[in-house]
This record gives sequence, C-alpha cells and structure tokens, in this order.
Amino acid sequence: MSIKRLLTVAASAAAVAALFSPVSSASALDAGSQGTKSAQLASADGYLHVYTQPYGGGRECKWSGNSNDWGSCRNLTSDIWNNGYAGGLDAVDLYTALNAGGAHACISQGDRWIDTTTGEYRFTYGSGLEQFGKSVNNNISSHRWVDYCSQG
Amino acid sequence: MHRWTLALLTAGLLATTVTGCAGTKATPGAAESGTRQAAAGPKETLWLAEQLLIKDCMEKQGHKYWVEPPRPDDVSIRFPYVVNDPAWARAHGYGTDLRREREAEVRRNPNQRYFRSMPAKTRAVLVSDLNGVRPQGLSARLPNGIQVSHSDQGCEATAERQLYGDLQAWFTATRVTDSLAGMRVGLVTNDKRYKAAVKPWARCMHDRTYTYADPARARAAATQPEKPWPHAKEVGLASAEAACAASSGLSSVAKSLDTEYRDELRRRYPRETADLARLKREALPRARAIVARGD
Repeated sequence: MSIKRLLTVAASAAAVAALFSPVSSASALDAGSQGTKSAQLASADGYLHVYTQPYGGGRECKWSGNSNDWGSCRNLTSDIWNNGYAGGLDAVDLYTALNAGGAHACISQGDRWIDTTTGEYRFTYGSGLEQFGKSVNNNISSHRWVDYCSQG
Repeated sequence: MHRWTLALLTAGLLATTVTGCAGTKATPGAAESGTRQAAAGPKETLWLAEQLLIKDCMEKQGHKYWVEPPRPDDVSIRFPYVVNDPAWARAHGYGTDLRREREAEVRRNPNQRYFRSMPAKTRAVLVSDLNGVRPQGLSARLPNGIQVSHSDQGCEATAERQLYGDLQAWFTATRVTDSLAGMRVGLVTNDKRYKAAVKPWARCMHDRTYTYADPARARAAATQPEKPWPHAKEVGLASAEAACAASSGLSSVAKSLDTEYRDELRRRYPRETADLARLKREALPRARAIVARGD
C-alpha cells in the first residue's frame, strides 16, 4: 500500500512535469522591489530579503528571482534572509560585483544573517576573484539562486 | 529525475520486502540489502525520508507537496578548482547549458508551480508552514565567523527533528561542514603550491591563445551573464582548460591539496564533522523505515 502511495506521488509529479512544457525562456531576472517594512512586518513569501541595517532595520529590498543589480540596496546591506520556497534552486549566491561577478558568499534556504556589520561575514567562494575574503557587509551587488551552498 | 525516482522506488520496494520478511530467517538479507544499497545509498535514503516527512507535515497543514528529487551537482561542486574532464568540457563547457536546463526544470517543478499559482496570502502561509514563521530558534557560529540563524518551527525543521533527533546539532553540523567546504577551496587556491602549479597551466593556456591568470578568471569570463558566450566558444575555452589542467599537472596538485586540507579541517573541527557522520548514521534506520512505509 505504501508503494502505491509512493507510486502515486511519482506518477503525479511526472504527470505535472509532462503536462507543462518548458516555459518559453522568460528571463529569470526579476526587478527588485523595495519597501520600508521592518523585518517583523515582512511577510514570509519565498523571497530573498535584504535590509540596509542589521536586525531588519533601514530599507528593505527583496527578490523572488535572480538579480544582476541590487539597485538602491547595492553595497548597502547588513541583514540577509533567504526565505525561499521548496522546488530546487533555493540557496542564494551573493556576489560582490554586478552580474554575478567577483567573489561570492552563499546563504541556505531559511537561513538568516541578521547582522553582517561584525566584519566576520566574508566572501569565501571564488578565490582569486574581486573581493575574495573581504566582508560581505555593504558589499553585495547581485545574486543567483542555486541548488547548494556546499562545494562538496 | 526519472532515474532517481525509479531507484528510490526500487529501494522502497526492497525495503518493504525486507521488512515484510523480517520474521522469516530464510530471507537472504545480505544479498537484498546489498541490492538496496546499490539502488539507493544512504544519502538518497536520507533525502527521500526527509522529503516524505515534509510532505506528510505539509499535507497535515492542508497543502499539497511533491517529493523533491535530489539535486544535480553543479559545476562548482564537480570542478571546484579547474575543469579537468575533457569529455565533460567538450559536452558542456563550463556547464552553462546545464544551468539553463536546471532553471527550466525548476520553473516546471510541481512545488514551484503550486506555490506560484497561489495568491500572496496563501504563499505566505505556505512559506511559513515550510520554513517556520521567523528564522529563530536555531543558531550556529561558523568557523568563518558567520552567525547564522534558522527557524526551529515549520515542516522542514519538524522533518529534520524527526529524522535526526537533535535538530540544533544537525543545524550546526550541516552549516559548519558546508562552510568548511568553502574554506577548503580557499585554502587550496591560496596555497603556494597551487599558485606555482597555476603558472604552467597559464602558459599552456597562453600557447592556445587564451590569456587568463587562473582557472577562476577563465570560468568567470566564459559565464558572464550579461554577455553570454556562444556554446562553441565556451566549449573551446573549457576544453583548453581541461587539457592544460592535465598536462601542466595543475589537476593533480589541486587534487592532492584538496585531500590534504580536507584532512586538516577535519582535524581542526573534529566535533562537527563527527557529529554530522553520527547523526546521519543514527538517522539511517529511521529513514529506511520511513521510506519503506512510504508516508
């Protein structure tokens, strides 16, 4: 009986996958939206949330997709919260330069770095690239959703 | 996706068979468990069990949830230092094609489609039921100094608590070991032996008309999103990189340094490494039972 359930799960997943052909490659890029909500008020909605001050202070920017340019939050963030939903590509690579350039750090789904002003949060991926080993505080310009934070 | 589903279903079937015959000593258990392990290793079994627990929990909240397949390795996991597989480079370059396929796959993902089809209010409920309302309750200080927090509520936390027992220990062990992996790559690429080995690699690349100081820069140039390279051009550079990685000795230097620093970090952070192994080991029987039950 349990197998039947499992088969049903697999079959329905496969059916859904088969029913919907790939979305014609609409850009995965998402314009950032900005608000002034505090962390307490921000709804849990599957976004990457960033704040210009620690503990959800200052201005908020949030994205559901990738961003090549953090706009008004570029190089101005001290609190990062990955509140992504399930379904793959739910960790986030945070890049120092525009267009996913330079060194990066990675934050897992559901994780929050609530105060990056301590100077201890550093870009630990992309050795040899711009800003590797430097603090992420006020130093992030773009991001990409990825499957893993670990490098194996 | 279909391959893993089949493998895991096979695992489930075999686990059921084994459970079903547990009373009769005549079952050739060793042979069956061998087959089962070949079909789905501990990693896949733990993954599936956690997914089944999340699904169960989300359904109890009145949501739909589809068991997520394990994720494919991306290029930074496959080749943390230098692309060193000529056949792979010939097919995928630096893997931009695979990345695009993966993004398309995620757009079709049933959980993602379900989530996106819901009004904002429901999406908020879905996320908080999965992730917890606030990222509080679990906290860990990583070796690189990052203080990371996470919710101890929600279906993901509930599933991990059921599976691994000590949720805080699991959170710390996974986040610390993930960060050690990143640290390891940094240590290797900063090592003077790696830097020395990069020089003949760069000379070899130069002979092939490519002027990049190191593999990181070559990869970054070929995978810049605002100026996507034609596939053939990406393949050309990655293929040269792979050929030079072998002939210059960079590939083998990177491999031996990777092993050296992996051991060193394991010695420097013995607790989290050991905790992770222990928590997984202890969870495996529970995971097998959950997969066999299929709930």
